[in-house]
Amino acid sequence: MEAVNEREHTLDPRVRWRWAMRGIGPVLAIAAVATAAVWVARVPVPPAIMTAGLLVVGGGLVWALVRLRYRRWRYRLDPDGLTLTHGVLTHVRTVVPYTRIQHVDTRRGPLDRLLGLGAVVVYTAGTRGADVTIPGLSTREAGVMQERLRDASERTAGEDAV
Amino acid sequence: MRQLAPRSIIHRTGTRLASVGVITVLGLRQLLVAIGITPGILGWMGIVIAAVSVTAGVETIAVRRVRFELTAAGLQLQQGVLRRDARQIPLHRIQRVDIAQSLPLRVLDLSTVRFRSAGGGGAEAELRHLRRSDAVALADEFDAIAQEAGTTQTDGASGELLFYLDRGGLLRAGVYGVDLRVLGGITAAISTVGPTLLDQTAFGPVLLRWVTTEAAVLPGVAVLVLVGAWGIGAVRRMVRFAGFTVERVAEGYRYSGGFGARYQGTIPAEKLQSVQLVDTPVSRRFGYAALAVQTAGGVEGGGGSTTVVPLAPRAEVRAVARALGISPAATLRRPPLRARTRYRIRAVALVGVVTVAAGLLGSWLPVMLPWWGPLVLLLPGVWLANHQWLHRGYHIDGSHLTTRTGVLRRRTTVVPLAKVQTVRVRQTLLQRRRTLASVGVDTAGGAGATAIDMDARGTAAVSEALRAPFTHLDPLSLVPR
Repeated sequence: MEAVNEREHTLDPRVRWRWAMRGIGPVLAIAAVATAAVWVARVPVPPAIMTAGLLVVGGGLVWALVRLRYRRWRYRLDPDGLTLTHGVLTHVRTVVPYTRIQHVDTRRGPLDRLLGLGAVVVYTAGTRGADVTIPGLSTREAGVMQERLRDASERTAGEDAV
Repeated sequence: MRQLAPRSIIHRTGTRLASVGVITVLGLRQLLVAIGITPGILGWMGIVIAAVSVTAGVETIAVRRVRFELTAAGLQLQQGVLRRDARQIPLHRIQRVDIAQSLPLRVLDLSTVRFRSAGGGGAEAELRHLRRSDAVALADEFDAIAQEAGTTQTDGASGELLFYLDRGGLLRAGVYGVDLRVLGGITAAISTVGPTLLDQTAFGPVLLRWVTTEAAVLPGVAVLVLVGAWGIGAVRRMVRFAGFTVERVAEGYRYSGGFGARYQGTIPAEKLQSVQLVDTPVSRRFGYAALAVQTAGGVEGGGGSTTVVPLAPRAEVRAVARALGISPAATLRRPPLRARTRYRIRAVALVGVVTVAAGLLGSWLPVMLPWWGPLVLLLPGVWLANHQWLHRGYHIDGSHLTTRTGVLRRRTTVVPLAKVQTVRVRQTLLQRRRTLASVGVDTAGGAGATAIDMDARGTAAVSEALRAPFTHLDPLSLVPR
């Protein structure tokens, strides 16, 4: 039985691109709508400048938020449980004792696969169980984490999780 | 193979007509009017008679087709009008058998029998309906078979009475309880039947003219509706909780109650996750509270929360909670005073926003309204903010976490630490400004408990205490205390 690593981990830096791609969608949509509105209403502003301005400001905002979010995200394997720390405006710290883990999934969406990322989803019997997700690990790291968490939950099994 | 009680055809036809029949007939009316046919009174009678007889016919077949048998192997069930279903539910999948009666069923001396599964959710199977005595016999039969098969545990002291609601208690439970669902039902009824009533009957135009000319009657009508809703709610609660009893049984706790004939259900002890003491300003004033328990898996219709004390003096409620193995803390630690400042500022800001919005809206309207109108909310708002602070709090010791919140419906939630699934500390931007934080725990049933706006400097100690039951990896030490 190997000792569970207590070191704090950060996510894979590539997750920033994933979040940025997610965040840029609304920016594009707003820019498109605003440009169309300016054009239809014949406001004396060149649509190209309008679009470019919106994209620069919106893109900058998204990137700043993504950077902050990446810097805040930490996960840690303690001897007794998994701790996640994240959140920019609202700071959240979640602790899941290993005994409560029912099963551990890895999840890879199309965007994840494109970037070589994976997420680890930890299920408990709790009503908000599906909330415990570590996003943006490298594929290898996700596999290792799944293995470790499964291991830890098996070693501490002995108590009914309900 | 056994069959359902034939008289359940009456009830099933009635409920089917009430749920689908009325809508069908009304829809048919719209359709006929649309294509230009207006059936006379005889035509309508024909339509109604046809609807009733078709429904009764279908339900007769449905009731007669049901065959069931309960053996050591489990429940065999055959049913279906158009297709024939044959189901075999293994005995070990059935956790318990519940008997329920609504008021119309009571009149017909019928009971609904539900076979509940261990996994929670809804019922595995439902028999609508059996004669009351047959239902009780079936439930007893299940208990005997299950005990023989050893699928339920039979240790622990049985039959100990934990709570009984006497006449005075019943009266109080009815009068203090405010059931908002009744008000919703009345509103829904008025809004669906109202328009038809207004333009289909001779009475309608008279009523309409009266209401529009005498606008002063409107507040009176509103008060009447409120009092009526309260009265109906009180009667409903009294019918439901008449002779309400909670007793200890082999597999957990059994509750039963009901006017005339009774319903009953069981809460398996090992499924118990947390308890919640609930009071309102009125019941609080007189020192009364209600008690509900949260369980993993559905106990009553899959809801996860079951009332075990409709209303009782606070000391008695605490005693019942202790009998269930969960002890609420006597005194709670309130949020720091700066939290109260925060609530007051929030209340004032909210009223400010409403005032500005109403002012803007008012300037668009042709009528002159005083812009300061919403400012009368200032005092109640600040009062609410103060009380919000007053009623919030938490307490943690080696075995339980107690949290409390709410003014109009104050909930005190008690979670045994051994039932905690996950722990979550949250801090919003505004909470960080005042060094506040919320610590929440999640259990396998119900909403868990959250200590809102505690001193952020104390969260480390609290989360440490919360994870204490899990800090030793020796499996033997993980058995709940």
